[in-house]
Amino acid sequence: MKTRTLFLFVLFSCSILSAQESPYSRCEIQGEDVFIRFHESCLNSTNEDCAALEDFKKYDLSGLIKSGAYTTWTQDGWTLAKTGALTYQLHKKLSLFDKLFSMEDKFNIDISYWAYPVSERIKQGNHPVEKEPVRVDFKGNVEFVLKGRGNARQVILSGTFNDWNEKDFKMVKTGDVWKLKLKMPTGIYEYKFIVDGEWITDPANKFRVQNQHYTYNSILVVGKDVLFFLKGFQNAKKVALSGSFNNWDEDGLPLTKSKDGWRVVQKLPPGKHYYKFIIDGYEWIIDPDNKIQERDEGGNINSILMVY
Amino acid sequence: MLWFFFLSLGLKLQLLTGVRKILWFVLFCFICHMAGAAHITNLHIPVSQQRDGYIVPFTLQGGLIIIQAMINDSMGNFVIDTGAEGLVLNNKYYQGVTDESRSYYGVNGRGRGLTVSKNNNISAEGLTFSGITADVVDLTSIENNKNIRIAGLIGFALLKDFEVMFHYRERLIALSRVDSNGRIIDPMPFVLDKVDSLSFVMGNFIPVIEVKVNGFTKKFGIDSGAEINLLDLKRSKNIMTEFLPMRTIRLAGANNEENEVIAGRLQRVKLLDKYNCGAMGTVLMNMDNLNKIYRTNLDGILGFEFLSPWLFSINYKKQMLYLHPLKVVVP
Repeated sequence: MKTRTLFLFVLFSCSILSAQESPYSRCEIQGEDVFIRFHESCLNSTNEDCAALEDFKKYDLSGLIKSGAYTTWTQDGWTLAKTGALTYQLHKKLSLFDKLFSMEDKFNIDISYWAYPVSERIKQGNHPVEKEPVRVDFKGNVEFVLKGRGNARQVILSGTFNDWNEKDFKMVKTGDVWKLKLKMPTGIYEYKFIVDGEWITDPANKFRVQNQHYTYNSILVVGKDVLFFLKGFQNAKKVALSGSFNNWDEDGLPLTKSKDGWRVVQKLPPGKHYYKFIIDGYEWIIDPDNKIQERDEGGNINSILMVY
Repeated sequence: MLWFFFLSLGLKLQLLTGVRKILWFVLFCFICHMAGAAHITNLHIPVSQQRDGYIVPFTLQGGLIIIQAMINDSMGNFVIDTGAEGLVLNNKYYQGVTDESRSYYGVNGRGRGLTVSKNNNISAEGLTFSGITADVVDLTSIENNKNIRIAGLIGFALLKDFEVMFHYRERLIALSRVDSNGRIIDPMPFVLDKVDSLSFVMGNFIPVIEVKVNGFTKKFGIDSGAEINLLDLKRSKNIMTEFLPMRTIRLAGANNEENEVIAGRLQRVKLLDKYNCGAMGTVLMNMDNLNKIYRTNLDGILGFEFLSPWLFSINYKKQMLYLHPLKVVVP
């Protein structure tokens, strides 16, 4: 009995200690009041969990708390109060955030406050960051290949990347195969081959989109290689990846099992992507190692990945 | 030809409806003919200007659309700003004269005597505007924040005669000139389906749309010059649960004053009762000044955070905002 009591006491103490030591800061609006609640350890921390307190670092709140002078401190309508052994709250009336905003003030907002951290999953490839003209380059990052048209006299590659130009990108015949390598920035492109004047989609590419002529264009996604990795789940029989980039395909993209988890590399265009993992075909889970999540209309939480 | 078509149709109808009706119909045909003639006159633009629409590539500096344009024989960077009244020039590079008839709203309230510069010529990608009067204001804050030289802003007065497509993914805007009824005169070489549309009203010079935020209808201005959405402190009490505060931030303002605002994310914004927007970076602040400028009661401003995921066009004459399909892959 004594041993069990001691164990519970130690466990309880540890949990309190753990809770007290973890830095946090939260900005909350409750009715007419704005609160910034924080743990004392945040005062000297650059931890991202302490970001809500960032604007107050210049006030030496540590000194105020040590001296006890915080009880009478006010600044720009803010007051400071103690809420626990090591926890405090800043308070200001919501109505005091009433300074007039001028037309040009919108240009003074630093958008980095909202930036999602760039995922470490994105492998840095040779893809140009900003738009560059698409050009023929034997060291290019995309190769177009057309097989089965060995008898053709001429094959032209045309697409959104060159304003559907019908002359510029002449493909080169090697044996019975027509090829052309281009250097292309990341993006989503539509294209077709012009075989002796006949416009055809890429027979080797099943991804197509209907165009204004009620025919189809082939789709090419020049993206960055993104590694999706799910740690653990060694007992799972299969794991798949589903998200906004594959229309939340219920079968998903299969991940490969390894010693420490499951992984797959997927090319993704720049933008904001939502995803989840599917365990054994029925259990949809968010990425446990990705803090960036959003709730959709149905209340479901999805993981988010930004590709730049 | 149109006139003869209607007349022959009218003659056929004469047998059925009698003389009085055919007389009315002939009058109707004549009006149609005149209207058609007027329409054709409108379409008859000089040969040198007959062309496809204008495609202007841009770069993004943060969330700002920056195009390069020739202004009075020198190249400069301009922000495409649907929240601006017209052409605005940076007073760091351009001088003007005080126009006492113009007023502005500053941090100290309404003031008179805006500096203006007249007879400016600006062109980009073959699109030329001549004899434009510009407001001349201090835009160094953009330069400092973006670390780029900014010649000015391009706003409503230069965009209002076009259907303007914003393609953030491909980094281009496409401008098709429209007639007074909003019909396209200079079509694009490509046609994009319009999967949906919503009407807007003009709040002075900014398009104002209605969206639902957690079921409440709210009025927002569409402002491509705002990187982060704005939400009015006073008018948003009933949707405050959908504003998730992150922290306070201080904006440098005029007279070395700081403006403390609350930065957060706005969630559950719904467009046309069916399109859900993701949580968007938003600043909660006092919009009284902006509402005086826009002569309306906006609940907020929707900027880059809202606009960039869509492929959309704004037709200022029809006062319609069109949504185009993002490329849906068809296996």
